[in-house]
Amino acid sequence: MIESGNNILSLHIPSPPKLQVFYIDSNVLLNYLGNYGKRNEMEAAKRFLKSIQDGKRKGIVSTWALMEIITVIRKALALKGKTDFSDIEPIVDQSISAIYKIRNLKIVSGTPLEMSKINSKPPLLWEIFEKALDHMSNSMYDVEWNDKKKLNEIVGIGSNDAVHILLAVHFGCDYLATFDKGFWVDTRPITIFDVYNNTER
Amino acid sequence: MVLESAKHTRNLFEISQDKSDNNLECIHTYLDDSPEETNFECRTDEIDFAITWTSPVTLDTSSESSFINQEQGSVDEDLSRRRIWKLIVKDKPVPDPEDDAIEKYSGILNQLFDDEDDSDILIDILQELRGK
Repeated sequence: MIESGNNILSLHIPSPPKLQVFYIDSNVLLNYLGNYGKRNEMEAAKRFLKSIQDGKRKGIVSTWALMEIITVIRKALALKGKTDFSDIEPIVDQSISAIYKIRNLKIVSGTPLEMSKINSKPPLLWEIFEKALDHMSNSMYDVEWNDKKKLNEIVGIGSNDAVHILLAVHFGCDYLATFDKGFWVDTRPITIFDVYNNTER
Repeated sequence: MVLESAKHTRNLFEISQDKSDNNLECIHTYLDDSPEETNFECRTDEIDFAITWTSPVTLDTSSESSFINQEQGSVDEDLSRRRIWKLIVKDKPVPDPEDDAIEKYSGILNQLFDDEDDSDILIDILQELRGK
């Protein structure tokens, strides 16, 4: 309320809408860094990350995801014939740097560097792992025939999936944003956001 | 500066710990081939973990400059390595407010994986990593 002389001007200023928080899966960032074969995926990843950069959504990336990304890029470069450490690591550095350079993207640690021997609280990693194990143990799965690979596969929550899900929950996210059609579980503690179709599922 | 120093093959690190709040107070880096001493102020609760941000550091745990786990009174190689990683992460890049990173950096790996066989290579490896 603003008073001006004898006049009273009443202003109603609505509070800004709460931005939804997205835990960003590794595949979103990998599609942003490069997907020569599937441009649509790359464009979808860019569109999604742009909404975070522009402040329309909140996005967090866990160091767990960064570790996956580093592993994937190193393996891919090795497959392409790069064997020298000095050829591989600058590319890894550039890639991780490209993630850090996205405005409004928060990098969070979900790994055991809380120094349990020094600090009294237990390491976050073990809390997450314990919950992830519980989640995995209580989730259903299917065994399905993969005609392409000619073998049976487990369709359900995997160990990495479980850690990502529990990290997303731990950090208070509204969604886990992914391209992965997996994260198939009967009871999910968090809503999955399909980045390709820009919708939740 | 940290990134550059870490590329030396043999670095010795010495740490002094602020016992009052259990945070790292100061880290000194000594380079074999440099008389320069570099001081870093860092608190553990301000630093994120686990970016392989530069070449792995060779730690001489046999030297007197090795880290000591003060609780156990012995050299704790794992603990000291963790602290080095934390030190390295101190130099992580920050967004430029004027920069559109999405447009600038998206697809930076495309030129490395531009064969037909490379289609979806990164995602395929990720799926394999996740046991899918």
